[in-house]
Amino acid sequence: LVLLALDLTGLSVCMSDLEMASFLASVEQKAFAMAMLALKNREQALDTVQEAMLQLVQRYRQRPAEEWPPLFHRILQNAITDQHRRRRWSQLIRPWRDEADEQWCTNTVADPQHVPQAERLQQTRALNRLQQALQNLPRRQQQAYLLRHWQGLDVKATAQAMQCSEGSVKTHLSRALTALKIELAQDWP
Amino acid sequence: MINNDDETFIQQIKLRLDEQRLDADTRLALQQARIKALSVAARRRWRMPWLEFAVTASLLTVLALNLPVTKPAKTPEKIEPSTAKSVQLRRTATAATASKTPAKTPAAKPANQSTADAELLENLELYEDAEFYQWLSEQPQQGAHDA
Repeated sequence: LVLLALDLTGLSVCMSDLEMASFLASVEQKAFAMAMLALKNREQALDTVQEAMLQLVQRYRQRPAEEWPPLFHRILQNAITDQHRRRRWSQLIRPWRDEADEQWCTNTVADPQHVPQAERLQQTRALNRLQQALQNLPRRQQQAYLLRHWQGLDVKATAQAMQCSEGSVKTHLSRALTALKIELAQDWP
Repeated sequence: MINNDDETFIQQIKLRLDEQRLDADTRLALQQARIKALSVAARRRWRMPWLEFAVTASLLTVLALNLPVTKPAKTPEKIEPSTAKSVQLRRTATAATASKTPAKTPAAKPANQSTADAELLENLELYEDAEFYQWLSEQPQQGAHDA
């Protein structure tokens, strides 16, 4: 019985690991994109995503899988805030060094081989404009918009991830949407 | 409130964001980060039973080392009624000797003092039941044997 219990425990642990691996695989690219939009630096964005993954696995692996998305995004947003703080200190010490100097040029559109050249160019241009518009949003509006309308969290989960009230989330969302509509009013998509 | 136009606009943005693909280097880096996070957690999980075992083993070792040092509590010896008289006699003799010998400073005769202390300690348990032995010695011999 003890052996059976141990086996079952090991099995459940393996299942939980598989679930976690699958969850991380599903969110990592979007998480990187969000970190990149907020930080505008590839290395820092990678570090931030890795830190968020580590913390989620170490602290919240035992939690039910439904709780992982808001927890992961909360950790990610906190890590992004920490990076911003570090960057501010770094700029105070070395004002000549700009860490947010990378462009969002590492991305390409999907299946470049199967898309005609002109269309691909248009898509890339539209994506760049969108990314620029998102980067221009205030950080909280950007977080709210991406979590709610891109990651697909509901308002409650978004509020949990942003550690604010649901009312604040709705306000941020409304302002972000207005700003994006103004920014992308012409020549988009 | 989000109207239909807003909904369409949001969907367009979502589609556009979903279309983007990261370059191979970034995808590889993210994959490595994920594997690292999962392996760290796995290492940590398998380290815990080892840690528990180590703590338990060290505690047991400390306990085992301390066991011979601590003396077991002395069980009170059964004293035969016949020996009770001898005990009382010895006590009386000790008291008499103590009253005859003049008082000495502890520094002057430490050896005598320590011998007396040792004797006192030896008979400590007997002194605890002094009243009983006193009563026992006063009983007639026959009654004592019956008891």
